[in-house]
Amino acid sequence: MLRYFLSRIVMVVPTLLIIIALAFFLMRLAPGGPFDSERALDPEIAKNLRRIYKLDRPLLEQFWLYLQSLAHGDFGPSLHWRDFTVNQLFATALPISVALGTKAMLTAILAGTALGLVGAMSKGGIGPRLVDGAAIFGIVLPVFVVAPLLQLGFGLTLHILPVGGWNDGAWQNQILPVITLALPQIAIVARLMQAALIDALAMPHIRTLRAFGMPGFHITLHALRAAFPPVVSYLGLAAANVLTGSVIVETIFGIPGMGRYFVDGALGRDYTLVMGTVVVVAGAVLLFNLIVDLVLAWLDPRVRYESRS
Amino acid sequence: MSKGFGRHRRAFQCFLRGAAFFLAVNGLGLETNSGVAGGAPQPMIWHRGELGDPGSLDPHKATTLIESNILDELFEGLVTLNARGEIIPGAAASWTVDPTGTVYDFRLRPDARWSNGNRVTAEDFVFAFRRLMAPVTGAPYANILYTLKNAERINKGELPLEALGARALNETTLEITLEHPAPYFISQLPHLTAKPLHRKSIEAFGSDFVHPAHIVTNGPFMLEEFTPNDRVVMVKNPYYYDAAHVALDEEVFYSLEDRSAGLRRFMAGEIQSYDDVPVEQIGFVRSHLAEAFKVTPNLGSYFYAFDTRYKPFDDKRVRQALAMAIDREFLAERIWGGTMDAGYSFVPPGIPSYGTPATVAWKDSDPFEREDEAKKLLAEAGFGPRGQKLEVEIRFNNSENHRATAVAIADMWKVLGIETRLLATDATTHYAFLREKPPFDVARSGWFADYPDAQNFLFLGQSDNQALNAASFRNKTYDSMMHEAQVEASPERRRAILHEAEALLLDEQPYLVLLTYRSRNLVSPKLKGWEANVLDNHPGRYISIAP
Repeated sequence: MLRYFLSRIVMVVPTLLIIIALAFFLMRLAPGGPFDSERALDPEIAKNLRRIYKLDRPLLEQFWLYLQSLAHGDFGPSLHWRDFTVNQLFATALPISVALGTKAMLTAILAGTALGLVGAMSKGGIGPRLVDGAAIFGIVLPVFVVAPLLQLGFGLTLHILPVGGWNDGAWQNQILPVITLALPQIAIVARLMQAALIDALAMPHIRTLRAFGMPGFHITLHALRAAFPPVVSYLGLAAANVLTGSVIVETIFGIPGMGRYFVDGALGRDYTLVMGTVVVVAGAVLLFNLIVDLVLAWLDPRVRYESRS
Repeated sequence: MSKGFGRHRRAFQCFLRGAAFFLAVNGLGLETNSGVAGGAPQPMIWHRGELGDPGSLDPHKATTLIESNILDELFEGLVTLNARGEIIPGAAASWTVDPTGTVYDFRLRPDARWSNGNRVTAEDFVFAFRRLMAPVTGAPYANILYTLKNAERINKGELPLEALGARALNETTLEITLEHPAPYFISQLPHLTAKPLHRKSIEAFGSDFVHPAHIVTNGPFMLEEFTPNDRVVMVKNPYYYDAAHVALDEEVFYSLEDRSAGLRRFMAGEIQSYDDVPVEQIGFVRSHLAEAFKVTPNLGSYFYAFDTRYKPFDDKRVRQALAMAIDREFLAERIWGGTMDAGYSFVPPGIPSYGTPATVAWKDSDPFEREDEAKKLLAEAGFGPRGQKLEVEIRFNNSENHRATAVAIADMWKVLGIETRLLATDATTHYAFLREKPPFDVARSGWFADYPDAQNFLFLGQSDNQALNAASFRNKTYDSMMHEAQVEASPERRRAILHEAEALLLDEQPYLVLLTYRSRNLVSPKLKGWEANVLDNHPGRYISIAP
């Protein structure tokens, strides 16, 4: 298991480096720069600004400087939020996105598993079709429709929850964003779980357990263990995605999370901010892939065995 | 059957009880939030929604409208603006100008204080002006105050900071020398580039002086919190000389970049004002929030720039023809839902020192006559049924309203036999394109006043204004008029020259003026002291909130 873990971790560093290099040079291909806005700057002033931020240096030198500061854990100064370093921005935004994302993922896992279970267990009845229907509804309904509807319903009509704002993370302000983030995930988890469980329930070892007269609850547990791998594979990527923030949810609800930095950074050509978000997201994806690999290896000994041979 | 029903009923009752508990808890939560339950007097807080997020609270790094709105609350220049947007004395109680119109003596208020109790001195202004011009600061808008003597050369590193035309005669007297007479100088002074700075805190903390823990301000408010993409919290400055008349205890700016969500938060009472509305929901806003919706003229122009360097737009007749064919009232009313005015002048109306702006000669002529005239002009230029086919590409920064405007204009031009293509890019790409100036046909542009003066619009046509002359317009007569106006000390003669220049610009049409902006605010009837004005500037100093 340890060797399996180490072999996975060794791959992380070169992968991350390639991603950083690609992002760095692709970003510079985009037309315009961080100082382009509706009110064009005096050319001399713009030149001076580029010098101050070392953007006048050759691109390769800039890349080398960036790697050096990154090696010290320094993402550099933000070019748009000029009073902050990218590290300072992330120090406030990342915990917020992680807090919301974790709650949304936990909701998705619990509700999705429960729904999938209900769908799979109700044999041949209307159950699976209901779950399928609800799930498709959850998947196709875009976040930018769900979020305003929730605001209208709970905020403006019922007056029981705030329409938006973060309010230092008060729980009232978290409910609607968490629901919005969780809904599509619930739908996907439910569908995956239902399909995997239906397969698992038809497996020979479950049939054997039934033949031995095991109680239904035990059989379900065994079936769940067999059904989890595809769900876990999906959850890894979904978690990396949800935990690093959603720009739409954050913009509509006015939440100061990570998601907005992707889009704001890219549109405003805030090079350091974009690079920072790329590193964080790439890091999260690699981390969750690693976790998924480990969980899969734990759930299914064949994974460990195959990788060793 | 009955058993099953009973089970369901219990579950339902359980759900109801849960829901009731949830509502009770929430109800309490909201009540405490809005301050109904408390015994002690509740602080008066203005929850203010703004489109956009401040990038910096350093007056020398700030550039956008929202940054300017916040900095106006934190810092007070020599002069400031009242609720109607008029200039009133600020940190300076009075000033005198010498007969040449180039030397100003400002006498500071003896009771002007920083938020730490220090006196605001003439030296603080000298320090701030020098920092603004120092090349190492990299102030993006330093050029607005190139009116100060030697400022431009200092900013370009050709002269030392000490050469700047600003010096402290004593603790409360500031002498400012200008490069040339500039009757608009006083109107430049409320701008964020002309704020004083607390020298000691900047020397102690460097560029970190802006952080809430360090920042020292001299305006009606002090900074308590700045969370990007969330809010800026400001509290009343007890040392402000007029603090006795500041009713607000706190002012909170919320960054609301989704207009529809902003509208919903306004309707829920979470914010008491919002400085924009979603244009696509304008009908709803007008019918449901008529009392709160304030649409008033704003000092901003919306126009298209022709690339006057190349064929066919180097020909004045083509530019005029295209300008005449446009139904501006349709654009203002139908595309922009009445949140814009039809634009027939380059300088928007509403600048006191300029009066009524010049307008295009054909403003009031019959639309059909205009169309015939446009066709005639095009034919003379060699286009039309018996000439070449004219193809035009409109470039614009992507947004629904800009697109709808361009589509409508393409349709209006079709009558002249013109084939129009649309090209949308993201805003940064668009503005970088205008800066680099590869050949183009027509590009969307716009301008908002830095300070209320006609020169601040008309300089967009000056050939030496490399950065902002999007049309690359070159006209010697125009340039010499603008330079004449720049050194003219008499306000009346200056106004006459500028009017003449505007008439020339409108005749030449390097910029196809389409619309003038109107500000569109949602203002709760509870918010007292909020007054509409052309600068769309609303200082918290005059605001109070009715219970």
